[in-house]
Amino acid sequence: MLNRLFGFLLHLYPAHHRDEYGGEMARFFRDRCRRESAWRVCCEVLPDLAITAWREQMETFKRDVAYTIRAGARNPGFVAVVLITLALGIGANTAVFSVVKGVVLDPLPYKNPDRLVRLFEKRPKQGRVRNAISAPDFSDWRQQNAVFDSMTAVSGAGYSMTTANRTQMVRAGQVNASFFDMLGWRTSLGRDFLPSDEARGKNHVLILSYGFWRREFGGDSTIIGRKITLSSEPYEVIGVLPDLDNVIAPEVDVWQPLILNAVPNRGAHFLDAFARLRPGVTLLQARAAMDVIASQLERQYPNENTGHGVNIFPLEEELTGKVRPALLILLGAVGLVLLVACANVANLFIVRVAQRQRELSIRTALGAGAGQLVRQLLTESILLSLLGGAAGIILAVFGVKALVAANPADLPRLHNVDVDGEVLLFGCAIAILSGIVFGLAPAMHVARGKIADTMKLGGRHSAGRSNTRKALLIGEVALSLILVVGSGLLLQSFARLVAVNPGFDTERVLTVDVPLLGPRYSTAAKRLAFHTDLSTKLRALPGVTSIGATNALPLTPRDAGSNFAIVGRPPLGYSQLPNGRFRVVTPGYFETLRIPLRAGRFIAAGDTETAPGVVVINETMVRQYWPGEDPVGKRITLAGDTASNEIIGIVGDVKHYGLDGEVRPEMYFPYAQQPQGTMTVVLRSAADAESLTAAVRNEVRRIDPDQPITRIQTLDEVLSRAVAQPRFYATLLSIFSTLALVLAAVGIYGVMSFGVSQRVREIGIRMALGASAGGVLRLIMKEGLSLTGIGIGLGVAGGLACSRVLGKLLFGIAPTDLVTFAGAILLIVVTATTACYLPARRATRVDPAITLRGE
Amino acid sequence: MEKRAVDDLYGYLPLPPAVFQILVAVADRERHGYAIMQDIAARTDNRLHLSPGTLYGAIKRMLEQGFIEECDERPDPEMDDERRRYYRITDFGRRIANSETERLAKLVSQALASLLPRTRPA
Repeated sequence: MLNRLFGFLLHLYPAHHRDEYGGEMARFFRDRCRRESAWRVCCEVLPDLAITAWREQMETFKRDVAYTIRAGARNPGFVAVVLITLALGIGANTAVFSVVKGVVLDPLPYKNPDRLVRLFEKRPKQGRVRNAISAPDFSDWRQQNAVFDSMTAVSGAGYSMTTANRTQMVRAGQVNASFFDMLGWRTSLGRDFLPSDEARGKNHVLILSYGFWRREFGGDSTIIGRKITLSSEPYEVIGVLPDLDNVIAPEVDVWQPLILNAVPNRGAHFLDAFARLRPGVTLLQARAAMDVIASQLERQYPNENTGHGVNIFPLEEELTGKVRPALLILLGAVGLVLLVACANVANLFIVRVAQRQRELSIRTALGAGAGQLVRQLLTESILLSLLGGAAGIILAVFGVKALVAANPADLPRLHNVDVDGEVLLFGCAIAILSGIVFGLAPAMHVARGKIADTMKLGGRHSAGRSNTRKALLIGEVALSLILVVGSGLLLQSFARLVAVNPGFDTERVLTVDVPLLGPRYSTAAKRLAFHTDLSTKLRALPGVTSIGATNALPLTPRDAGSNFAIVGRPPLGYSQLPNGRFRVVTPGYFETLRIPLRAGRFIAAGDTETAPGVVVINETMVRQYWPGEDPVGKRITLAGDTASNEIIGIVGDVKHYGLDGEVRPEMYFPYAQQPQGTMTVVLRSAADAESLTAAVRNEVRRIDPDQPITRIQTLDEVLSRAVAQPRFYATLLSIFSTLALVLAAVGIYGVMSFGVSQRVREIGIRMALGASAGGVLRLIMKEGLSLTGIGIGLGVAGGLACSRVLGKLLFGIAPTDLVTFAGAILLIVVTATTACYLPARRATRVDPAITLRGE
Repeated sequence: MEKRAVDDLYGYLPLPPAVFQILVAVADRERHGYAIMQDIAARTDNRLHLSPGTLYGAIKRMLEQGFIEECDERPDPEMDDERRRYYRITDFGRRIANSETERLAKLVSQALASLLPRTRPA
């Protein structure tokens, strides 16, 4: 029994040591056990066995490494190609994985994040799934539900804060007292909000975000109790949050208590809501329970709530759900690149093994077993892959840093992306895995005794090896085709997206956000006076050709809506009223953005607060509510208003919700008649719009030195940001597919030129027997292209399967688009033809006389 | 040339205790592994029992370095009829063992000279 155990443990030693001394050691052990206490012998021998086995393994490993280094030094070109290929493959994988992990895989930085949900109001009949919530509805939901542990509403506000040298806008998040507790946040200084803070007169208290506290107060720990002035009103600082990962509202500077009953109107929808599911309650149960509450409210308040329901989404899905599929696809794509890289390196290794067959044969003749040779080859491949991996990880670190700094795609949670321990582990794991994957093919040859065979054959040809190489080539072609098809689809989709007419002209337009905060602009008249003054002054600037302003610049998140009644039609309850998006614009807005007029007239300077109420609507609104009619001259009344507005004009549709987004009915009111909301001033310039920036800042400062400008950007920049994510995905996938294509070309070239070098004699004989150079060229090309053809066949099948998952990311193009597939195939054929042609041409230069003399 | 050979010898010193003991064990006669262990144990008053891992690891390296050589494989008449590998010292091994012995002797005489007089009564 003990002897068998010892025999088994001998497997801890390297095979060659075991073969050489295993029998002797087993006899030695038996001899000692016969003469001494077996227990004592075991206590002495077994620890010694573990230590010496490890030592022998390490010694063998060191010897293999030293051998690898010597072999590598003799062939630096080979090492460089392998390292570059692997560094690119592993680096790209590590970088993409770190983004996927930071954005999608890491749990949200909240207490039990899987139970956090976000709530919306839904209006299925109007196709609305993410509507803001009214305060009374939220209160009812919170009181009546039994499925949430806690539920909290969030709203936002902007204040101006003037410090010694500048005025800036402070963004406030208004929340219920339970908000921090729900997320698991605790203030690091001072106290949290209390329910008693949510009352008028007691709500002038603030909890500062960590960034704001550091930036504005230098991290002053005595800040608690200090009064700070926001929009001319004093607020007491009661707490400071620690440096936490605020994914829900990263832009918030300060938090303040929300007073829910401040807006008791069930028609005013302005709240966001978050909740924590009770333990054991599923999302489906919560949805069912909230549906019951919504139906009760529908019956209770038919006028306001008919057709209104509750929508609940997991918070994680809300925050990162949009980018998840795209990032996972990128991870898959970059994984394919690594496979192509591995196939390529495997091919290189096979060639190298073939070149080293004399050396390997000699080692075999000197007694090295197949196991030793396999181990040696695997050590070489894993060592190279680890070196390549290390270089790749360095590339990834820099790449990820640059990506996070640039944030070219407005990815959520990007600040959480870093090459951390787990990412490093991933990098090392794929490096080792790659080493095994590409080292296995040559090692298997050796294991199967192919080396001995080739020695017998005089080192000329091995059918098994060339089959492996052909299979790898086919694989490379197939994988590259899949990637080229994917990137082709995304590029075309992106091209079609940016070709969409947004409904306005973005060239040479500067946009300026002027929030008009504080008591200085508490009345409509004051806000109107500011904008009138500003437009007069800006219009006078040299280079400005037209000017206007809007409360909701297209392609930005700014949006508002209102129900309205059509005068002359039967009266409806509030909730049955049609809804239009609420836009406020100044005269000159349509002209500046070059939004076309379809009928009637634009809003003009004469549409003042004393003039009759007017409104301009978009074409979608006409189609939806006045199909086949001319609405100009008809009247609508906004819900809650008494006076009606005459429709004076129809303008073209504008893509407010993204170039691939829907167009909703839009109503444009004159700012003079609806002076509400933060306005964005738009200026069209005769030359470069950006050149106006300094002059615009000066003019705003001249009118009101305390008025902050929260953002100045050109309309081109706004448009560019709107397509940032598809551009990012298309760019990355194009880089990956180019990389794969280059690798595949190198692979095809390598396989073909190796094939030619192996067949020199055969070609020589053929030519001696009368084969023409053209015939030889055709022979070699045919072989290369037929392999490519098989690869293309497999790639098309793979491409059809994979392009389906791309479907969600595509715009205006089918995942099975014939032209894209044909283009990708053509690209592969051209690449393969070029890669085959060079070795084939070399084959035609074989001199039959020289080759035959060699025989 | 001779100088270099001596330098080469010194490059191997000091020898690990197990290696030195094995050289001593096979210096006078050929022995197999278990007999080497027994000899060492006897000479060290049972203080040094080489386990098979250490013993054969050392034997492997000593064979590679040319300190010892394998002579043949035959049964030990005192044990059983199983064939065992016997090892004997090489000339090179003997020179190494001698050098190590000299080195140790010098060390001991130096230690005696500097340590013992102090412990003797004046």
